[in-house]
This record gives sequence, C-alpha cells and structure tokens, in this order.
Amino acid sequence: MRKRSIFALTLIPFALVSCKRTSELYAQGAYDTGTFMGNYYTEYNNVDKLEINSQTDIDFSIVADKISNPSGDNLLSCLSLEDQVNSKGDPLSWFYDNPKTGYDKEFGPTKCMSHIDDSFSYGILSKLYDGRVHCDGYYAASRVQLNKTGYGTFFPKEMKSAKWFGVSVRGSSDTDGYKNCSAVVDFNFTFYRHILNSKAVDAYTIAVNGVKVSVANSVPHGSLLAFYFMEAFASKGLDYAEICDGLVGMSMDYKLVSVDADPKDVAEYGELTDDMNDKEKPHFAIFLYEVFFGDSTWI
Amino acid sequence: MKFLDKIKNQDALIIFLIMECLAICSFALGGISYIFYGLGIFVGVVTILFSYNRFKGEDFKSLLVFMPPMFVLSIFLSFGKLLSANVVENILVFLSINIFLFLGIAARKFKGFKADFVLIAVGVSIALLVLISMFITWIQYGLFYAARYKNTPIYYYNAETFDITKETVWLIGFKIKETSIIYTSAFAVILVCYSFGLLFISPKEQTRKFCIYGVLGFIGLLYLITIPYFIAFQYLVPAFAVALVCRFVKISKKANDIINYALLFISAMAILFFIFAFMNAAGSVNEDSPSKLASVISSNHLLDRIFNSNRIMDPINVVLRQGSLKYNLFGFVPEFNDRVLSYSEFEAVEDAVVTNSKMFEIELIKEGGIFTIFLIVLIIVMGYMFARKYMKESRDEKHEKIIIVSILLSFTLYKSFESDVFPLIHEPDNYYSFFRNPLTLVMIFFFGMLYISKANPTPEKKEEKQNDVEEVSI
Repeated sequence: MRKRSIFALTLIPFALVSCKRTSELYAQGAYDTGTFMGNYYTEYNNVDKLEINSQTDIDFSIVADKISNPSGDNLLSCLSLEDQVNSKGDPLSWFYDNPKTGYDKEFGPTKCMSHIDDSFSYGILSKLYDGRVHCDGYYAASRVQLNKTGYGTFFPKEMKSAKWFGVSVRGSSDTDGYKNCSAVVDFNFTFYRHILNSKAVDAYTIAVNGVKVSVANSVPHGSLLAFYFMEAFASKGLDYAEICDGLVGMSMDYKLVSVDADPKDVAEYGELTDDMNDKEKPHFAIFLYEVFFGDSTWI
Repeated sequence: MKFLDKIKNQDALIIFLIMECLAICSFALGGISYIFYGLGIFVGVVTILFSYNRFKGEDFKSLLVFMPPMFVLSIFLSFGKLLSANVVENILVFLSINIFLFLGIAARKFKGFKADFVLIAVGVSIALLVLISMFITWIQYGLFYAARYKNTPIYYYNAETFDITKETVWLIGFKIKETSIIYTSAFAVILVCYSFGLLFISPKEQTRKFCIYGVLGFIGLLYLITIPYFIAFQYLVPAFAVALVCRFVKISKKANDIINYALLFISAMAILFFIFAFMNAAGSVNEDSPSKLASVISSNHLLDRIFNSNRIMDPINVVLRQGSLKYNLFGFVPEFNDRVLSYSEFEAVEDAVVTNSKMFEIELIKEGGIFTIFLIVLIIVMGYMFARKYMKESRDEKHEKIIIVSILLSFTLYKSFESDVFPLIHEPDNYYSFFRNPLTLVMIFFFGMLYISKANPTPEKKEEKQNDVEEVSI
C-alpha cells in the first residue's frame, strides 16, 4: 500500500503538466528570415476548419477611399473625432507610434488590443496588437506578411462588444523597383460568431474593394483602413451589437487588382502577383501592422 | 536596563526573532524591501540591547578587523550615485547590511542558540519559495522544458521574442512573474548545500535532522533537474569537495599549507588579472589615443583574445570603462546633467548600466564605483580566512559548519559567474541590486556567523591556552 502511495505521488507532476506557455513556440527567426519569400505568414490556426452554419456577405466598399495615413497631428479620415482623441480631448497622433511611451498621445499605442485586454499580448500575432502601426525599423518584427490567402486566428477571449474595426496596412514587393507606386486591393474581413450549444459558427464577411495602398518600400508607414460595425452591419439590416456579442475569431484575405506602376518597372521586373507560389512573376504582399477592435470588451 | 531584565527567557526571545527575521528574508517577498530592512533593523536593535554587555574586550579588537570592510562597502553601495534617489531607502540599506552582519556575529552570544535553528529557518523558507514556484513552473511549462524545447525555444509576448529555455516562473511579492533561470537557481543552489551536511549526520541517531536536511537538499536538486539547469551544479563542486575532504580525508599540516599557498597564489593571479583588465579598459576609453598597456594588449593576438575579444570580457569591459571615468567614481551617473558630462557620454553610461556582466563583483561598480570591487575582494579573502578558522575552532557541530561554509562558498561562486541584475523577463527595466536583495542579507548573516569570539574559545583552544600558560609558568 505504501509503495503504491509513493508511486502515485511520483505521477503527480505529470498530472500537473499543461501546455499553457508552451502551446506556441517557434524556432529562431520564424517569419523573420531576412528574405521576403521566407516571411509569409499563411496560418489559419484552425479557423479554416470551423463548421460554418451561415455565411453573410456584406459589401462595404464605400469606406475604401477613407484609408488614411496622416502626418503630424492630422486626423484620420476613416474615424470620427471622438474615436481618435485622448482622455483630455487632444488628437492622437497616427504618425508616431511608440508602444512603450505613446499611450494617451499616439493612436496605435492607445487603441491597441494589448491595452484593451492583456490576453492579446501573447503569441506571434501580438505583433498585431502591440500598437506599432508602422515599420519603425523593426521590419518583420513589427508586421505580419500576408499572401493573397491571408490568415486567420481565434481571439484569446470572446468578444462582448466592439464599436469599430481597423487594420494598418501597406503593400510591398520583392523587387528593387516599384518604389513610388500604389496598388488597388480588394480586402475581405471575415468574423466568426459562435452559436450557443453548437460547434458551428456564423460567418460574416465584410468586403472592402478598391482600397489604394502604397507599394513604396521607402515609405514604411502603414495606413489605417477602418469602419464602424454599426454602419457595416446596418447596410444589411443586421444588429451589430448582437453580432459582435460572441465573435470568437477572424480571418482576412485579399486580391491584388491593379498596380499603378512605372512602365519601366513592369518592363524590367514583370507584373506583380499576389500569389506567393507563382515562381514566374515578382511578388506583391500586404504588410499587416496592426489590427484594432475599437472600444471593445471581452470575456 | 531594568525593564529588559523583567522579560523572562530573553535569549529564547532573541533567538526566535532572529529566526523569524531570517525566515521572512529567505522567503524573499520581492518588491517589499522596506519590510526586510525595517524588520532587520528592529531585530538588530533589540539584539544590540540584549547583547552589548556580552562582548569582551578581546571581541572588540577582532571585530575591528572583521566588520570595517563590510561597513565601508555598505557606505559605497547605500549612498552610491546610481540608486541614490530614495534617501530613506539608502539609509535603511546601510543600516540593514551592518545589522545583519552584527546579528550573525552576536547570535551565538545568546544561550541556547544553535546554528541548526537558523539553518532550518532559512532552509524551510527557501524550500517553500522554491516548491511553490516549481509546481507552478511544472503546470505552465511542463517537466524538463529547457531540454524539450531547445530547438523551438521562441515565444512572443507583446510582439517581442523571448527564449523559454532561459526563464521560469517565480513567486515575487504576491505575483507569479517570468524570471530568469539564472536568478532563481541561486535559491536551489543554496538548498543543495544542505545535503552536504548529511555526510556528518547519522541517519540512525539523528533521523529527524537527517530527514530535514535531506528533504531540503532534495528540493534544490529537484528544481535544478526538472528544468533542467545543470550549469548550476558546477558551482557546487568546490563546496562538495570541501565536504568530502572534511569527512573522509585527514590533511597533514604540509598538505594544508600547500593548499593555502595554492589558493593564495590563485587569488593573487585573479587580482592581478583584474588590475590588468581594469587598466586595459581604462586605457581604451579613448579609442583614438589608447594607453600603452591597452595598445600592447590589443596588438598581441593572445592577449587581445583574453582581455578584449571574448563574450565574457565584452560586457565586463563596458562596465570597467565607465567605472574608470571620474564622474562615475562613486557609482554610475543616474541622470543626465550637462554640467558633468555630454549627452553622448551619458548614453554610454546608460548602455553600461543595462549591460549585464553576470558577475556581481563587476555589477557593484555600477552602484558604488570602482572602490567597491576592491572591498568585495577583501571581504572574500577575509571570508576565506575566517571560514578556515571557523571550521577549525567553532563550537558548532560539523554538519552546521559544512552547510554554512558550503552555502557561502557556492553562493559566492554562483553569483560571481551567474548574477542577473535584470531577472524579470517581461520587465527588463527593473534593476535588481545584489546587495539590496533579502537573500543577500541572509548571506551576510551567515558571513557574520564565521566570526569566532576569542573571549569564548572552544574547549580545544582553551586547553591549548592552558598549556601555553603552564609552559610559561615552568
């Protein structure tokens, strides 16, 4: 009996083992290889395996031309004034974005997800939640590089409410050319809402077509593309509050429509493609710096 | 003091207070430093009141040798520039360093005191801290995680990358925080030293004591093995060797002298090396016009490799260079002052502050200036001399002596090569001063216990003295 007790005691450590901190580990230099083609993040983190109960498509392309990258203290055109000022009513700067010192002064560090809920601080996608909305010399450490297939992820918690959604994005290419041009991109943002007592989810895809993004590597600034959930869902007669209450994940993908390129670049390098698997053409990718769920609450 | 005489069992009360103080410090409720300082000072004052009349004239003479180096070091460290912002804290640090040293010296003056009491109080507190942290580590990381994940060690937190094999979770204050393995393993190293005392305890005759020390040592071993962090074991080898020699080997006087001279030679070489390293660093502050010595060293391939181009000396040289500058003489400048230095010079100081040399002796230069390293070397040499005397002449039992000496030796060795002053992984701006650490105060107490009072010699020493007197009479 005593031997069995001792044996049972030695098994306790194994019973205690869980994988909380070891569930997402990487080798050195993951998605930060120093090469363009080695930095694509194409994971869907099992979001693509979700059973979809219903699919709702919403075309909200009217916000496409509101994508903005204001300099200095200028305001963002995609959000109302009240959503881009600090507690004292002063405008938050989009241009500056220091996650350590910028809270209540700069837009990114103030509105970022890791500030709203600390659970967003963990994981490789914490790059999208830290408040750094531009490159700032951090290159791949500050962003997620997306192929046309995009990426997907579950949220660390379930959303209770949110007011607006935004992404800081820009384009890039793996050529030395295309330095001062822009690209037109169609984005799809899909949000997954869980259904009570069911494994299936309802999917809501909001398409924003015709977004103009910079392709210039020499201008490493992200631009904010944002919209209000109320307006987006209301365009289909849906109650945004009801939909946001229960969102568990999201995915996004895009399509490169056209590039406003110098004909010399096209002649020298070829036409850009948004498909990383195309070995013939030079590649275009979306650099995603930040994902926002403005004024959101989570449980 | 008539009212003090009314307290019965004064000695038992003092011993209890000392044990409580050490136990709380060993549990190291981090971030609540004022409690340790205040508690230590309170217990120290009470101890002084009860013990001042138990010191004889001979004691004061030897205390004049034993105490001053630590006293002077505490002045440099408490009032050095780097951590000078809070004057009250600095005074408390100064008082507590000296009071903990005094507590170690005075503890034996109280009737009924045994080294076992403080060893067990400290050991159980550290073991509790290690056990709690270890169980939470098992839950969050799993067993042997440093080995299992050595190929995929990177995780992301707040968009920054961290190496999971270099961290663990630790109870700091009332929170669990990600902490460097280097910092936490010091506690386990201390616990393992308890197992060395088992060589001197009979499991049949002193079963309870054997079990207590065995369990304490086992907890330390278990912690280091289940990470695993085997590097820590190399710092236990010298203490274990001392324990084995004391247990199984009878050293002749000649062999003893040879060991003494060998250790003195090694110490002299180490001091000489440091002097050259310091002069080389000081001479290379101005890269455009280095000193002659710095030029000779950098032009010789072997010397350059030893003194400059290796990953051990790189951070040490950064600190030594700044330590050689006039404005950093009493600790590194904490804030920019354009009357004292230029902004680029201040940036160089800041870089040196965040450079982690992993040697506590070098890190002290940041806090108290270059003189601190000479004082700490003096204290270490004195510690060796007093430890030898303690082992030979102390009335403590053999296992007590071995454990105390092992703890001091292993802790000093460990911190000489694995000292992390920025142990909080996700809060890298938090500077953990070596001497403003409750565990170090406990070590200072043990250092004080090495002191042997001449006024109260051991029976062997008494007999020696009596023989001397008889010879003189004849």
